[in-house]
Amino acid sequence: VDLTDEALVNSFRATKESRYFTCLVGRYQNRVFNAAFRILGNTHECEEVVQDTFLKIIQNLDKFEGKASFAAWLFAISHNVCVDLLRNRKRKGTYKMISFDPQSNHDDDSVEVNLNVVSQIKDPTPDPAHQLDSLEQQVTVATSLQKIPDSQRIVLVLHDIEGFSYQEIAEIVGVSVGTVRSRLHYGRQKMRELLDPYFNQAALTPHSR
Amino acid sequence: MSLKSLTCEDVNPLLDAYRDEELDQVERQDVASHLDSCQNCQTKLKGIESVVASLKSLPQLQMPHSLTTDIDFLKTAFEIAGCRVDSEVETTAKPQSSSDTIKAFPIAEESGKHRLLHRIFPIPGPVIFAGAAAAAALALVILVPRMLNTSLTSPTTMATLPKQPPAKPDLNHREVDDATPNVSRDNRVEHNTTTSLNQYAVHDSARSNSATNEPSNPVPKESHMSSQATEIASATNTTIPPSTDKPAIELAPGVGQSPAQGETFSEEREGSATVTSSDTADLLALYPSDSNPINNELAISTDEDGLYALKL
Repeated sequence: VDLTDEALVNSFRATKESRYFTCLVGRYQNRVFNAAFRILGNTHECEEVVQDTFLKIIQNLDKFEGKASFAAWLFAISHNVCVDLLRNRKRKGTYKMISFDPQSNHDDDSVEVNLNVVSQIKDPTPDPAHQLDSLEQQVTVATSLQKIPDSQRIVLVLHDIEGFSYQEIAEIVGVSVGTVRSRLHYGRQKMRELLDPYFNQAALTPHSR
Repeated sequence: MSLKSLTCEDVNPLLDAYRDEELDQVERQDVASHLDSCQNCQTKLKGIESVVASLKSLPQLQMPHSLTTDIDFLKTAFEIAGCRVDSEVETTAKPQSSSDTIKAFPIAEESGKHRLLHRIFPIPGPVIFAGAAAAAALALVILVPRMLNTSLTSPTTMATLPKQPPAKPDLNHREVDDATPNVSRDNRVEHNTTTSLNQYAVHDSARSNSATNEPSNPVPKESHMSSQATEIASATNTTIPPSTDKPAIELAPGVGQSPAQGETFSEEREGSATVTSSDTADLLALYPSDSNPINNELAISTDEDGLYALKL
């Protein structure tokens, strides 16, 4: 169907024919899935995000006023679903706060072992990322992206991966354009710091890549 | 238009927006003029470009399975919207079975379906608990009298070995048991149980054949438990040919069953069997008794822990 998103929405509202909604799903499901994966860092919840997003879309389609683009409205809903998951993740304590101390090597005979101190840190790269980002650079970038704060990562994903403008991101996330600019600046700065060792190594050994 | 002379500290926060062309005209010209004369800020701008390029280089992921062909999702969505489903969707969409979906994300598949079901049937918690309580009460009403009847009638005579004497006694069993008199009964029964279970399939098929050949005297279809009990009786008397004209198991006489009824097992007696035979010398040798061993009744019962024998 060669209609704009807004035309599809209006047609669906008028006729209630499922094909218009199905067309919208087909257009955006992969984008939403991809953005959710980059924000959440794993694939476990991404399908849920996509399903929840489109169910909320069809539930609230009458509330779409057309002030923002349909894509921005859709990604605003998807963003809220992702944020809820991130909050639940923190609330459930998925991540345990531990201390990193390389000198805390304790032999097996030690009686008292402090489980909150580790001397080695496992590479936190998720397995799906390894599978999907086959190239080493992509794995490094995806891993670094998960290390920056959620708010900055979301803005980076929406701008640099999904291509939304500052104004659209401000509407999606619900902050001012200045906040978007700031988050983007600091997010990229941290990404640069994380990727610098890789970039420097790549520059030193160009033939190894 | 005012071209201010900006410092690096002023320009640094604006470099990202400058790269993204999100600055207004004045700011853009100010930053551009600074960049012309500042190598440091140019390097930072290149760093920003490399970060953006690396993010853009990430692959675009695809949904493991498309929602446009997921009929569960589409039905749920269209139920919410209250719209009619096109015939095109009905024909092209199909249920997402486990066989046609990518197995890369099994957890997501399971959890996604669970949430989808919850959305389809948004039953509140109290209703679920009330339903479960009603079901439990109903189960109690049905099962408790049944369990009481079963407990009152057990142990119950189930079957006897045929009275035909063994043509070829199993000397091995006798020797083993005579040689190991201190072995407990349970261990011995387990030994025989293993033997019987190994022979189970063969004997079962033999009994089926026998039932087929003798429609007037059929071997009843039994549950797995009673079949195991039957097999223990068969195993302890290995001389019984599977193809004998007489069924391998008969009900014991004088236990409230008429001869005509003795060919079928009562459900209430399922799970226990009594072997009464004057010719099961090798079986009785497993359970030495100080009284007259010939007239002893042995019950072979089953429970969840396995098989064991009871002396009645």
